Amino acid sequence: MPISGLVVTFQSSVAEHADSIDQIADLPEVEVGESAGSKLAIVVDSATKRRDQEIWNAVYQLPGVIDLAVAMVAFDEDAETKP
Amino acid sequence: MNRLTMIFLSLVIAVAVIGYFVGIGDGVPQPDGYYESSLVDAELSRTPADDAKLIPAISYAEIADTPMGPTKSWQTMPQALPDADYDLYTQIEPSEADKEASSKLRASRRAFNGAPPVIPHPVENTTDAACYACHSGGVKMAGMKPSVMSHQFLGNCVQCHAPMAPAPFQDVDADVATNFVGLPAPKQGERAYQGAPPTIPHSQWMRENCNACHGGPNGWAGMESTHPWRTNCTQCHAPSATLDQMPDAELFTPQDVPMLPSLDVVEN
Amino acid sequence: MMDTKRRNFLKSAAMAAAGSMVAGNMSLPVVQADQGVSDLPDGDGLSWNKAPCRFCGTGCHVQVGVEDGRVVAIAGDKAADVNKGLLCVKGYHVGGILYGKDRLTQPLLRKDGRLTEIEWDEAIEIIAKRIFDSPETFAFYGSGQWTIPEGYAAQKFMKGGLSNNHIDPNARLCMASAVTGFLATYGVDEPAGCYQDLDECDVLILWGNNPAEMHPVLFSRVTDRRSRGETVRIIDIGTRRTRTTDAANDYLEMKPHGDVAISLGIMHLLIENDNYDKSFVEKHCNFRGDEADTPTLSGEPISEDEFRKRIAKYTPERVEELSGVPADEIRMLADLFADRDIRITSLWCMGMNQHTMGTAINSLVHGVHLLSGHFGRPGDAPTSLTGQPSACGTVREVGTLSHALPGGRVIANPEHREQCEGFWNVRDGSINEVPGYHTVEMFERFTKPTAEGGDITTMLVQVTNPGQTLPNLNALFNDKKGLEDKFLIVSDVYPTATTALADLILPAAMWVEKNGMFGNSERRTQQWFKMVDPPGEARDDCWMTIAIARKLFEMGHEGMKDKDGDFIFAVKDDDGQEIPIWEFDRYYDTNVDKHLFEEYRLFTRMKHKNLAPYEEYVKARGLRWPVVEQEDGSWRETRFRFSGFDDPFVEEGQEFDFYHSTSNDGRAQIWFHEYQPPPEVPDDEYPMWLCTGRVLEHWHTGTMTRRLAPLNRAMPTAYVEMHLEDAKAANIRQGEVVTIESRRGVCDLPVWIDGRGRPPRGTVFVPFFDESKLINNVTLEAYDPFSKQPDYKKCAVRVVKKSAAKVSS
Repeated sequence: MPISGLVVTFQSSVAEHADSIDQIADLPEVEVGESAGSKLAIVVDSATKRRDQEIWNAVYQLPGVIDLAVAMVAFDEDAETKP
Repeated sequence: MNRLTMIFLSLVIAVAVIGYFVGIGDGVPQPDGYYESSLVDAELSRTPADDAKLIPAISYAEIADTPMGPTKSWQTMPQALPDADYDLYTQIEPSEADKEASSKLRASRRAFNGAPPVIPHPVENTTDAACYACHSGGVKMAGMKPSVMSHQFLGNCVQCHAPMAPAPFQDVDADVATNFVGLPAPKQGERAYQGAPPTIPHSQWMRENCNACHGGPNGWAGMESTHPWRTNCTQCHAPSATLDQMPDAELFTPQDVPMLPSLDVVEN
Repeated sequence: MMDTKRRNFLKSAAMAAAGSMVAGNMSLPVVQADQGVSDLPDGDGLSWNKAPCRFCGTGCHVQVGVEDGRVVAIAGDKAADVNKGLLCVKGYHVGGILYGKDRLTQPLLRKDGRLTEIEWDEAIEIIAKRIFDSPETFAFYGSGQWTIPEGYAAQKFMKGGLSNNHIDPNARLCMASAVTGFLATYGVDEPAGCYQDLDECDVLILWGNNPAEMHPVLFSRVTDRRSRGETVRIIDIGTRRTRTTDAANDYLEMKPHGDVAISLGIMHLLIENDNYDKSFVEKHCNFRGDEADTPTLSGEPISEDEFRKRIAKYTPERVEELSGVPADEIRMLADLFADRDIRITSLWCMGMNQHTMGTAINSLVHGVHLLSGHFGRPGDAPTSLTGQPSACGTVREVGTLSHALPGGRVIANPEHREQCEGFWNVRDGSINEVPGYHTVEMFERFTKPTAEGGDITTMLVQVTNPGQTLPNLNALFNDKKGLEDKFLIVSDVYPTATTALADLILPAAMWVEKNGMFGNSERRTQQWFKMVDPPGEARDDCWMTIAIARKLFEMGHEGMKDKDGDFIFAVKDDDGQEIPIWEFDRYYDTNVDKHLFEEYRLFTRMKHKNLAPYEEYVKARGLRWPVVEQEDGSWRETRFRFSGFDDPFVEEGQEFDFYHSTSNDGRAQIWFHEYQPPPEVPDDEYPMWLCTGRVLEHWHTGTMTRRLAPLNRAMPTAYVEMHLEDAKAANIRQGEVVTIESRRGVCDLPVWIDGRGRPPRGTVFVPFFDESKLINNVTLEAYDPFSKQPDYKKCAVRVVKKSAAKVSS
C-alpha cells in the first residue's frame, strides 16, 4: 500500500497546463498539493504497488509533463532516492 | 464385483488427487515475510515487458538458429568509450536549492544535529557485513544511493543507527508525542572574512571521512565540495575544538594562552 | 490494514516532502519541531556538560548540549574511559526522554475514582499523615535508578527514622542473585575486575547474555578488537540465537537451567583431568557446600575430596543430558579453562540472575574461574553486568534492600546496626532488628486485604514501574484494585502501568533536571549537575523524601529527630543556620547531594569500598572504588580488586588476598551445588518454554524509550519470537496476533517468526517493554531461596491461535 509524494515538472508554468492537472486531480488516489513555477506537488495513496506504477505511468505520459520526481515514499519503500 | 472394485479404486484415486491439491493449496501454512526481502520482492514483481533491458530467455533447441550478440547495425555504429564513473576534476557547483533539499533530507534522518542517522529501511540481516556491502564505499543501484560510512569501520552498526520497524511490524503505529526539539543542522561554517575558507561547523568525531558526504563519487547531492581535487580538507577548513570535545577548549581563548616572556636583550 | 492515523500521517509527510521541493522554502528544518516552543534552538549559546547516561548499568558518559534551558543535543563523551566517545541508540537519544508530551507536572490525587490536581503541600501532608498514623505498615519501593543520594536518603528515612525495614528496590528483580553469588564466594559484593578485562581477554564466555543488544557499548569494545586484527574467541551459551550469536565463534544452545550443569561439568573435568590450578586453589580457595538441613549463604566447609566426590557424577555425558549441550563442547570449555596461558572473561546478566538457582549458578561460575585460576589477571575475570544505571551504586552499595544497611552491612548483625545508629546519630536501637519484606512478599502483603494478613497498607514507589515489571502481575499487583484501605503513592515522570492504580501521583524531576550520582557495573561512581529545570511542578525524588520526613518531624515523630533533637536531614550553612531544604524553592540553595554523599561516604570504609570526596567526582568521568588518597593528596581508583598489583588493601608482597573472606582466612569459596530442574517445565497442557527480556531499542518498561521517535519507530511493538517449524505446526503466520497463555494469565502478541532472536523449537521469547502487552501477566513468581529474585526466564506456556477462521478467509 504505497503512499508517495511526487513532484510533477511541466514544460512551462503550471498555469498553462490546466488540462493535465485536471486529469491528475480526477484520479481518485491522487491529492494535488501546492505548485510553484513549473512544479506541482502531488500525493498518491494507492492500494497496490501495481496501481501506483500505473498512476506513475499515466501522469508521466500526460501532455506537458517533462519530469516526475519522488520526494518521499512510505517507509517500506523508502530508500535514498535522489530527488 | 470387478466393477465395484473399479469404482472403489477410482474413488480412492480421486480422493487422493483432491487431497493432494488441497494439501499444496491453502491449507499449508506459508509464513509470510520469511523469505521476503525488499530486493527479492522487487525482482519477483518485475515482468520482462516492464523493462526493455530484460531479454526473455530462449530454449536450448532454439539457440543454434538464434542470432545473438550485437546487431549488424550496432556494430557499424561508432561507439564512445565509457567515461570514468567519477571525474575528480569536474567542477561541482550545487545550487542553493540543491543544498536546501540535501539538508532537509539529511535532517529528516536525525533527531538532532550530531545524532547518528537512522537507517531509512528495515534491517533484515543483522550482520555488519551486510551493511558494509553497500555502505563501505557507497554504490549506485537502481536509483538508490546508500550513504558512505563517514567513520572507520566499527562492529555492530545497529548499536548506533536505529533502523525502520522490522518487516512484520511496519504498519504498527509508532507515533510518539514529544516536545523534544533537536539542535538544527548548521547552515555553514564561519568565515573570518569574505572569501576565507569556512570552518567545519560540525564535530569531526565519527565524521573523519570528509569524502563520505562532501566529495567522491557517492557523496551527498548538494553537499559536495566545489573543489574535490583538493583532498587535504583540514589544511584550510579549521575544526571546532569545542565541538570536538578538546580538553578545556574554553580555557584557551586567545587572551588566556600563555605567551613567552619578552626576551631579555642586553642593551649597550 | 494500515490504520488510518498512520496513513494520514504518511500522507501529510509525503505532501510536506513534495511541497518543500516545489516551494523551495529556504528555512532549514528543525527536527521534530514543536509549535509550542517559541525559542527554537539555533546553536548559539549552546553549552555542553557531562552526565552518565540515564539508561543501563554500563555507565557511559554523555555530553549534554543545553540551549535556552532545554536539552537539544547529545554526544558521546570522548574523555570517558567506559565508552570512549561512543554510545548506543538509546544513549544518543537520551535527551528526548525529558520531553514526552505527557510528562507529569502536577501532583494528582484520586478522589472518587478520578484524578484531581492538588498542590504539593497537600500531597506531602497526605503521605506524612498516613505514615504517622501507621508507620509499621508503610513500605518504600525504589530502584536501581535512584541516584545514590536519593537511595541514601530513603534508606536513612526508613531504617534510621521510621525504624521500618520494608524498603526494597526493583533491583531485587534484577541483581539480587548476583549479590548473593558474590557474597557467598568472596564475602563482599561486586565484581573484582573491570571493563579493561574486555580489552585483554582471549576468550569471552557469555552465559545467557546478549550484550550485543543489552550492553552494546561493552560488546563493541570486544568486537572492535577483532576489526583491529586481534583474535578474541566469543562463546555464546544461551537458550536462543541472538545478535550476539551472530558475532560468536561458538554457540552452545542449552536447555533452561543447563548453565548449572555446564559449570558443574567444567569443574568436574578440571578435577578429573587434574589440570585445575592447584597452586591458586591451595593458596587462595576453600571448598564449600550447602548445609544439609537449612542451607544458608555461608554454607559449610567441605574437603577437596568431598567436593571431588560430589561433583563426580557431572560427567560430560550426564551434563549433555541435563543441558542439551554436546559432551564434546563441555570438554572444549574445560580444555579452555585448563589452559593458563589464555585469558578468559565470563559475562552474565539476567540469564543467570533471574533464575530459581540464581545464587547457585552465580557461585558456580565464580567457582569455575577460581578452580582454573582464571581470576585477577587483566582479562581473567568472572564479571556480572547490571541493567540499571545505579543498581550497584544505590542498591548494592547504599544497601537499599530490606535486609541491608549502607556500606555492605546487614540488619541481622547487631554490630552493623549499632555502627549505623552511630553514623546517623540516632538513638540506640532505632534500627529494627527484623529484616523487612523483600519485593515479592511486600507486594503480596500490599495486594492482600488487611483482614487477611495484608499488613502493608501504604506504599510509596519511586523511579520504577512495578505494575509492568513484577512477575505474575495478576497475583502481585492487579489485585490492588478495589482495596479501599490500601494507598499507593507513585512518583514518576510519565503515566505508567503503576500510576494506573495509584491513589496519589507525584510528578518527578529526572536525570539532568536534578543533581545526581550513579554507580555502574564496574564499581565506578559518577556525578552530574542539574542542567535544566523540570517541567511544571515536577520535583526531585530526594526532595520528596526529605519533605515527608520534615512533615513527620513537625508532626512530632520522634524518629525524625537525631539524638540532639535536630532534624535527621538537617543541612546547615556556614553560619550554623539550618537551610530549609524541605521547601522546594530553597532546595538548591545548597548542594543537598553533596551533603548526603559526604555523610554516606563514612559508611563505605568497613568493606573497603572507599569513596573519594564529592569534589573528586565532579572532576572525573567516574572513579572505581576503592578510591584511596595518595601521599601527594591525589585520589587513586582501583581496577582489579583482590589482586596484589593493583588493590591497595592487599598486603604488600601478596599476590591475592580475599580480605573479606567468609571463612576469615583470606580465601574465596569454590561452591558445589546440586543441579535442580526449573520450577515449571512444559507439559502436554502448556508445551512451550517462555523466556522474557529486552531489545536494543527499548529500556526496561519503555517509559522513556517509548517516547523517543527514532527508537519507537525502530521497534514499535512487543512481539513473540517463534521458530518457523513451531509456527507451521500451529498454522500461524508472520505478524499474526496470538495469545500466550500460562496457568497465571494471558497476553496477546503479534508473532515474529525467526525474528531478531531465533529461539529453538519449543521456545518462545517476548520482550517486556510494551505497556500495552504485559507479558508479566503470564510469568512465574517462583524465586531463588537466597536472593528472593524471581525467575522471568522460564515458565511453561501455550500459544493459542486467536481465531482459526481468520486464516482460511
